[in-house]
Amino acid sequence: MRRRFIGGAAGVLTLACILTGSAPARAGDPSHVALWRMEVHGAYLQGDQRVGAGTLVPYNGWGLWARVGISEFPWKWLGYDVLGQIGLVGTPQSNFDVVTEAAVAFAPARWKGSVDGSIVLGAGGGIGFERPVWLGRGGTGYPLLLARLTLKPKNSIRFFTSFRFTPITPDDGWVRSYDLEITGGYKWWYLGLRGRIDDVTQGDPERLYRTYWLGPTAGLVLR
Amino acid sequence: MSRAGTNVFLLLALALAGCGLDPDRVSELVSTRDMLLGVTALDDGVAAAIDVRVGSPIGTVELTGGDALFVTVGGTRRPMIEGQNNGAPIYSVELDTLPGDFLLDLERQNDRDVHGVVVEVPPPFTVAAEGLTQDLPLSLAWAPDPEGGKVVISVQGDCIDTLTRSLDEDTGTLVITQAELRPPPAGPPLAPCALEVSASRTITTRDALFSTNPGGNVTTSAEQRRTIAVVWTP
Repeated sequence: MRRRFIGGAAGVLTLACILTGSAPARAGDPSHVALWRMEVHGAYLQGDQRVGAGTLVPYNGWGLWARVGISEFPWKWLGYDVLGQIGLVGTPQSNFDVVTEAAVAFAPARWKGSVDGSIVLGAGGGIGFERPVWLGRGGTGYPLLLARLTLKPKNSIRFFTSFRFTPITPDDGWVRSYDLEITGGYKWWYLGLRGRIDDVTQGDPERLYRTYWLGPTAGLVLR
Repeated sequence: MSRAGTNVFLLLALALAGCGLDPDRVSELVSTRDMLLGVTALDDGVAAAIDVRVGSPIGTVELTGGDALFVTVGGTRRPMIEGQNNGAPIYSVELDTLPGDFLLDLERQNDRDVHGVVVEVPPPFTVAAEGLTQDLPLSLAWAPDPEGGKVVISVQGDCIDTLTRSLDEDTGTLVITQAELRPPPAGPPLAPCALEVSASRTITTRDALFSTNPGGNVTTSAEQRRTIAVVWTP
C-alpha cells in the first residue's frame, strides 16, 4: 500500500515536472508559444433559425467585434489562454455581444528548423450571451476546447491558425460552435479570415439549425 | 471617401444588415405544431368542394416530403389534390354534396400526424320564395335550425343594389319589402326584373391541433348555400 502511494506521488511529480519544465520560455524564442494580440473582426452570417416549435426560417446579418487574446506560458509546456470579445450582432434580434473565455493550455509540440512552429492545445470554458442570437439574450456558460498551430518561416513573418470548439448544452437543445481562424502577419500586424459554424439541434421535430459566419480579421500582435 | 466609394459602402452595409432571405415554402421545414390549417367547404346545392390551405410562420406552404391531406366524407376517405389559388398552394376535393360533418387528416413522414379533425357542416336545406308581385314583399322560408350556423340572405339583380341580411336568429323566415330592395325615390322597377336570392348557413370553428404551446391551429368554415331565381313583377 505504502509502495503504491510513493509510486503514485512520484508519477504526479514527474508529470508536473514535464509540464512545468525547467524554465519559462523566453520571449523572442522563434518557437515561443505565447501570443498576445488585439484585433477587430467583422463577419457576415447566414443560416437557419427556429421559429415557433420547430419551423426552419432562413436569416442573415452581420457581426462586428473587438477582441483581445492572451496566450501565455509561464512554464515550458503549460500555460493559459484567455480571450475577451465585445461587439454587435446585426440581425432581427440585433444586440450587444460579449464573451469571455479561458482555458488551460498545453504545448505538446514546438520545433525549430527552416520553419519554426508550435502546437497549442487547451481546455476550459467561457461565458457570454447565447449564440446564435435567435436562441435568446440570456447568458450562458460553456466548455471550450482549442487548438492553435503557429508557423514562423522567418522571424518577422508569422502564420497561425486556431480552432475553438464550444459544445454548449442548454436545457432546450444542443448547441455547438466551431470557430476557425487563419491568419498571416508581418512583424506586429496580421490579417486573416475567420469562420464559424453554430449548430443548434432542437425543436419539434428535432432538427439542425445551422448558421455560417465568415469575415476578415485584422490585428496587432503585442507579444 | 469618394462618392462611388460611399455608395459601395452603403450598398455593402445594406446587404450585410440583412436584406431578408426568402424562405423555401415547403411543409418539410414547418413543424406541425406551427401549422394553421384553413379549411373551407361549400355545398351550393349543385356541387360541393372542400379546400385546405396549410399556413405557417413562413406563409402558405406546399406539402412535400410525402406529407399529404385526406378527407373522409360519408365514410369514404379521399386524398386531397394540390392546386394553386392566387399563386399559393391549395388542396381540394370535389364532391357532389356535403351530407354532413367530415374528417380531415394530415399525414406527415417526419413530424406529427393530425388525425380526425372534425369539420362541422350545416345540414342541407332548401329555400322557397313568394311574393314580389304587385306590392307584395319578398317572403323567404326554409327549415330553421338554431344550431345550424350563421344564416346570411343575399339578393342581387340588375335592377337593385345587392342586399345582404345577416340573421341574428334562425327563425326559418325572412320578409324583405320592395322598399328595401329599391329604396325611394327609385321605387319598383317598371318592367319585370330577374333577381337571384341566395341563402347560406355557415359554421365556423377554430381549435388547437395539439394541447402544447404552440400547438398549431385549425380553422374551419363550412357553408351550405342555396340559390333560387325570383322575378320581381311590378
